[in-house]
Amino acid sequence: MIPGRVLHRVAALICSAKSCEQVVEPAIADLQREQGTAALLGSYLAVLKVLGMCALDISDATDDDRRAVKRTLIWAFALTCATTMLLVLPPLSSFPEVRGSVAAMALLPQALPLAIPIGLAFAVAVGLSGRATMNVAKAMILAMAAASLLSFATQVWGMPAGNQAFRTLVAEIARSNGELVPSNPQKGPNEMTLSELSRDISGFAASGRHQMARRYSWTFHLRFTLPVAVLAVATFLLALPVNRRAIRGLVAFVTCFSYWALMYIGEFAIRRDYMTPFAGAWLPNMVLAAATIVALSYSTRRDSSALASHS
Amino acid sequence: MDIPRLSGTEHLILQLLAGDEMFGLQLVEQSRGALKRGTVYVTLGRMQDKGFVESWTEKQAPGAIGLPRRLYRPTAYGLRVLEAWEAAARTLKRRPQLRPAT
Repeated sequence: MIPGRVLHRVAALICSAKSCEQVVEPAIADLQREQGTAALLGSYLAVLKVLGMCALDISDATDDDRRAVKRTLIWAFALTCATTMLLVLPPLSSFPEVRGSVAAMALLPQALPLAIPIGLAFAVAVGLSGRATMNVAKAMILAMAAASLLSFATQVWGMPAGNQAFRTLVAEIARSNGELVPSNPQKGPNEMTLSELSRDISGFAASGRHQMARRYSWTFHLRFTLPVAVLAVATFLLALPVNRRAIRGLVAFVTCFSYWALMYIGEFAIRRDYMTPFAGAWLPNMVLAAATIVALSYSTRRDSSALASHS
Repeated sequence: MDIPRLSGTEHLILQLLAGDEMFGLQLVEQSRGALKRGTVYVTLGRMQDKGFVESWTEKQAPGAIGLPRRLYRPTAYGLRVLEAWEAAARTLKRRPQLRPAT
């Protein structure tokens, strides 16, 4: 089979005829002449990048746009790494016996879903010094969607396995010190997969243990709400009609803190049965979505009045 | 009259194409890492819209498989814009001679 045929068909579906002819087809033609796995892989990545740019219609992005996106993504990566380290250090210091790369690796999945929205929020606030152009906004939304997917994968598969591995590690050390601890500790809600959580929620509900069912339901919904938080927090900051970097940084801090506060208000409301687990878990995202709509409508109104006063 | 804007990447592409017509991949190789495979065709497409370069597909041998590659060369307008920018850059590099205060 000729390499790149599927990509060519995809391009015909998602790109304009002109972009397909001028931009995508030459890239695929290069790919079809590549020899060797490494070169082919590089070509595939290049074609995927071209496809993404054409599909989002950002092929007219300026050098300033590209620099702004690159700067923001570097900030996002650095801040996410720093936040992850800050989140991993406290549990590691609580169990001095399990210090080491294996324990740190086991704790990474529980830190990442929190670190990604925080890192991206501050990166959007600091990296984009002013309101983003449409091209930058489109590229950032694509980056946020990718970060959101990474967060979801970590929450659903990485975190339960990582948390359980850390608990087993702690239990092994406790047993080697002569303590009576089971070799395979029982899983808590944060160590369970989605199907295990779902099974336990049904079990608790059937046996009348509604408090436990609500608690586990909150954990279940959190696996979906935290990945969406990446989009919610960063989109709000992207829509913010503020140009001063210091104020944007301050707003990022207040937004992250408010999200955290709303999360715990939601959990409290679920425990007291004031809210359903679904509504309580999604409360922070719904509040942020409303704030984003307000920020967008304010900036649109301001732009229209500025345009009217110029004309 | 406004001088057309020329980004750093567009400037480099015009400089490379001023010597000879090339495929996109050749431009990437000649630029020694300055041009990336994922963005070179996007930039070339934009330059074509601006009228800086023109392109056509290579003639393929009968029975050849795959898509034909695209060749690029600068237009006369593109070369004039390149000359104008290089002249401006040369002029701006020349600093005015300052006389010491007496």
